[in-house]
Amino acid sequence: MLQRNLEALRRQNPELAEEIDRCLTGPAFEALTASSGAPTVRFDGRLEASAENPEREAERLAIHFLERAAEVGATRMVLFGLGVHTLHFLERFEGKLLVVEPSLELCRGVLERVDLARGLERCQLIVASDPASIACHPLFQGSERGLFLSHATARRRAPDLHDDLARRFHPGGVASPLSIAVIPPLYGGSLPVAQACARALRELGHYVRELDFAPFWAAYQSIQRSTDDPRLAEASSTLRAGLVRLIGETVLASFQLDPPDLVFAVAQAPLDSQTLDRLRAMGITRAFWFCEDFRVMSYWRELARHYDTIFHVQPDEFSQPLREAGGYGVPLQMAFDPTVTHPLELSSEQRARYGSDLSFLGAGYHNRIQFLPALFDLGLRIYGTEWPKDPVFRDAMPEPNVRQSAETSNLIFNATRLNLNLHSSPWCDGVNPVGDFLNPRTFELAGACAFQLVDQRRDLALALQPGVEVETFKDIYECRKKIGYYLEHEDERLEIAANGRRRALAEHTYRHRMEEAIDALRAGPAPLTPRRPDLPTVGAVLESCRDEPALAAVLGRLEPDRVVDTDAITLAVASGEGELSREEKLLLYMREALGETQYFNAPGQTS
Amino acid sequence: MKDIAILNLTRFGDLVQTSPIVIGLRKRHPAAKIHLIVKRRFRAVAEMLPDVDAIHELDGDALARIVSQPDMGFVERFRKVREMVDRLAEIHFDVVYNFTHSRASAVLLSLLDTERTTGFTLDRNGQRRVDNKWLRHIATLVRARRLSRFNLVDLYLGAAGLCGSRVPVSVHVPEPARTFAAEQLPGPGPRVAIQLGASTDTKTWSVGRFAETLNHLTQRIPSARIVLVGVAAEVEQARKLRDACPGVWFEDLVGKTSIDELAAVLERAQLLLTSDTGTMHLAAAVGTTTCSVFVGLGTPYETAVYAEDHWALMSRISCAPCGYSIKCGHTVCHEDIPPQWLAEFVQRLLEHKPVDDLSSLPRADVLRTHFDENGLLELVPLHPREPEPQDLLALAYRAAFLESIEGVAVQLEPIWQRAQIRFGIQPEKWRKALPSSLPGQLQRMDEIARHAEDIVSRLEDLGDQPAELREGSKSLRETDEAIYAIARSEPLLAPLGLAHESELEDLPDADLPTLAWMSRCVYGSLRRRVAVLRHLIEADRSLPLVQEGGST
Repeated sequence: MLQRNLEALRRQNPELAEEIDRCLTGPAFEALTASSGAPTVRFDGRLEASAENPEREAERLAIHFLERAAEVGATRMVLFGLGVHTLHFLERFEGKLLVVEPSLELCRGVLERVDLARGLERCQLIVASDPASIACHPLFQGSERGLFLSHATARRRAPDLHDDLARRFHPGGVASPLSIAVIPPLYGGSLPVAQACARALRELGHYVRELDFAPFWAAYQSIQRSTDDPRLAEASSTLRAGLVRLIGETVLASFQLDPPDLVFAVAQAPLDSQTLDRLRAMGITRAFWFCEDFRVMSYWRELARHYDTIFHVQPDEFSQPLREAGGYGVPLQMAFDPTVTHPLELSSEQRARYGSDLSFLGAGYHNRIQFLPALFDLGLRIYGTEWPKDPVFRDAMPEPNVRQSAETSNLIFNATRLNLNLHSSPWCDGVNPVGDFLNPRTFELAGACAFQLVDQRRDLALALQPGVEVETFKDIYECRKKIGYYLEHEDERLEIAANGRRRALAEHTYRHRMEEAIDALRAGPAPLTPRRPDLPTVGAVLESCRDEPALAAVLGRLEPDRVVDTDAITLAVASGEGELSREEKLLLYMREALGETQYFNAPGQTS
Repeated sequence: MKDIAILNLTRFGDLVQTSPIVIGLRKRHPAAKIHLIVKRRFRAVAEMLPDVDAIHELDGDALARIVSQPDMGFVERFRKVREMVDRLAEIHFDVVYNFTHSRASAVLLSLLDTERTTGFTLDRNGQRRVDNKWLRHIATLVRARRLSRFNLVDLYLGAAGLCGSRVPVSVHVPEPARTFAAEQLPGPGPRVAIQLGASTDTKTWSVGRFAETLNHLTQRIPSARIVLVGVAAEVEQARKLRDACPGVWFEDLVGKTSIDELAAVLERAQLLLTSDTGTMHLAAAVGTTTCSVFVGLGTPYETAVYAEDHWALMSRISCAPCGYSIKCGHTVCHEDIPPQWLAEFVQRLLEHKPVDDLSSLPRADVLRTHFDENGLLELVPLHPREPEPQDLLALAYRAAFLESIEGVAVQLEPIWQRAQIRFGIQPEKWRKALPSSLPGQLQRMDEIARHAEDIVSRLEDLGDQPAELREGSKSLRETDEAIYAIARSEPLLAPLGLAHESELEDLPDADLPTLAWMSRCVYGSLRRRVAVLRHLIEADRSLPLVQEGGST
């Protein structure tokens, strides 16, 4: 296998072929066989491809890459990371492909086990870790429309190299902070998702503002109350549309003086098509994370063409209808927020209140209402809203129909020995036999280091390995059987939970998702670049001004993680005492210079 | 005095307007080296100014690039900006005059390590302050434009201690530029130069009206040649004008001249017809008569060319000129200048014939530039007309502020005479021509200011008694609020409130006795201005001379 691959590589890059031939894999490289029988790889303790079905995963990723290339009209692609099977599926790319892999050892290991000969003939492969030399490659610098894409695994292995290359490839650069407005829904399950997205984007160094729609939620509730009678349905609809219009105008007004680079709206965000079109007229990129089931929620059809990019959780089935509705889709699965969801040492009071063998947290959807009563005899506790108020459920609900906060949810996950997760369905009676996307709970339970028994989902194995990082059931019988088994096998339960947490932390945080989202937006049909300059943090500036003690003394008045912008300069100078020092005045001059020069240099003026 | 610098980071018209200050400083300090700090793109203008020994460019574009350079570290950017500033600071100017109204220029001035500065600078706490009474008056001027009668050049001359020097704008035209102009404009005239564009749309008289004027003019003077000047961005406007004037003999140099060549071209013209533009100042500086249509934001009272016997036309509509924060969507003031009348007016100027027998314009003033008895530029209307209240108050304010700023004693008679000549109004009729509430408001303002003087006197005697000082300060704030309230309620009195406010804001950090004395001067100044207005309005000829300490 190796020689066949090297033979193909020699035709493109004989020196590299020789180098790989001479290289040996070390203990960091582990060859594995996935459940599907295909080879997969663990490198430096992390899976480089799925342990379930890596070929299917690679095919899906390749299709996504090819769709992105087609969408933006790219005839040149730079792929960061060799992957394991991806190259095989990228044969179909008709443009020029440059693959950049930071690790020679990984390269050797993959080429020993996976037949990539045809892919290697079609691409240029370079193995290097020096960004300057990589950026010199003619395909990296080509004049044709290009696309920079990356394997998430490779990005995690070499984040600095990835960011450096991405910055060189895209104007504005991956490391350039964006000004982002996160638009949450008024209420509901997507609200904490929006909050988590905002936190993650902030962690990534972007300037994030979260819009607060709490005052509008009160108005929405008032409309609901006033038009409760079914005969007032039309009036209710008119009033709700009016409220959304009002919110849209408020959003637009708030952006007039300082428009963001990107509006990142989350499912159920109250932005109508008129608002979205005006955002576009303001030059603001509009992205939407539709983290709902497209078959259940249909409002996406109306909004699809008014967003620049729609992120969604159903990669296979949703792409086509979304395209037909005029939308550009990018798959982005759900995640968890480690700042909210994490293992806890519970107090005795918390344990007494939330502790149980078996619990379920979620809303009372049709299939859950049908399925869960069959577990009441096992002591199932149910938390969440929209459950029937009849005595059967009431007895199983310690806090009937109370919406639990993210913090309380984390307490429940931690206090429960076996957490049940059943994806919602409005039409199945139990487990959805063709269920595809993964709900947030899947990742939250793994992130909380809580043992999770989840209904079988087609895409689950791409995120968490069944039997190793999570346990599954296909029907009520298997569910009951596994509940019994795992309640009796604590060691296995704890090990699966710990594995799940490791995987979730490594791959499934909102920070990971937001990284993927911003990358996709930067490489999308309307590439996203920041309006604001790339601003360093105080800490970074202080690091580089050790031989400028007077300057360091002024900037040292600020918090180290604060970005050095005009406001920060003003604050630093204002925090001083006595007469202004020369350094303070110079900082003020820097602050003022930009605005003044722009004003006086306005072109075409004669007086 | 060895090294004198003028910091002027504005545009080309403003630089030409700096020439009287440079000439005045040269006369006063014949042995000094005069430096001009200008924006790089206007170096060519600076090179034409007389008496300039050294020009220092401040490359605004480069500075903007440095401070916003994403690939350069913050500390590196800081060092580059410091290098830029240090190059200037190394000269150690004895005095720097800052005529740039920006905070950035104020910060720069504070960095120049200069013995003495005049103009916009920073105080010890980093706040912008204006340490000159003339330049401080700009703050009043920009917020009460319809009542201001000081030309910007007079404010700068005053700031440089050269008030009343009667030095008009002037530039040197290089010989190669003259050769260029002679080649481009061969043969005899008469030539009328036209500058179509201006810095903003609302200051620009429309191409259609220029065209109509030129069509009438060339019917009257068929031999007239029309020289089109301007920058490359105005090529399209020039094309539209040519299309609208098929029978006119154009010499189109739009986008084809450098600044010095433009000066030479203007020198070969007999007259420039323009809106309020930098070209207007340049034409005056080479001795070519200008006839300028001021519309929108422009007012000749502020920016008419600084030289005698030039002409400005301006609508009398009550909203003219626009306030600085206004973006007018209905520029009716443009319509108040009739092209046919203007064509006849220009014809008379070209033929050196009298213009005072022309009919007066129903909705516009035709104004001639002239140096008054104090050596300051004023605008004299071509035709007398009925006075508006602001016409009378503006005459009064000019005298009152000249006294409080420069110490030129107010003479009531010349003010009344001007009013009589320009508006046909006798002193006794002033009161009737003004709002009836005005005398009462002025009296009230005087009483409040006198009360404030009493408070300040008490504070001076208090010494270090914090509780009483706090109480006194609170009382002063209340009296100031009462003064501002009157000034806000009557637009004709706005300059009194605005000037008082800016004088108080710019009081320096000082010990209590000094501060109290200076505050008393501020209230004294206000009372003196009020007194001037009251005496003029009441036709009271007994205005006493200004008391010592009565002005700041």
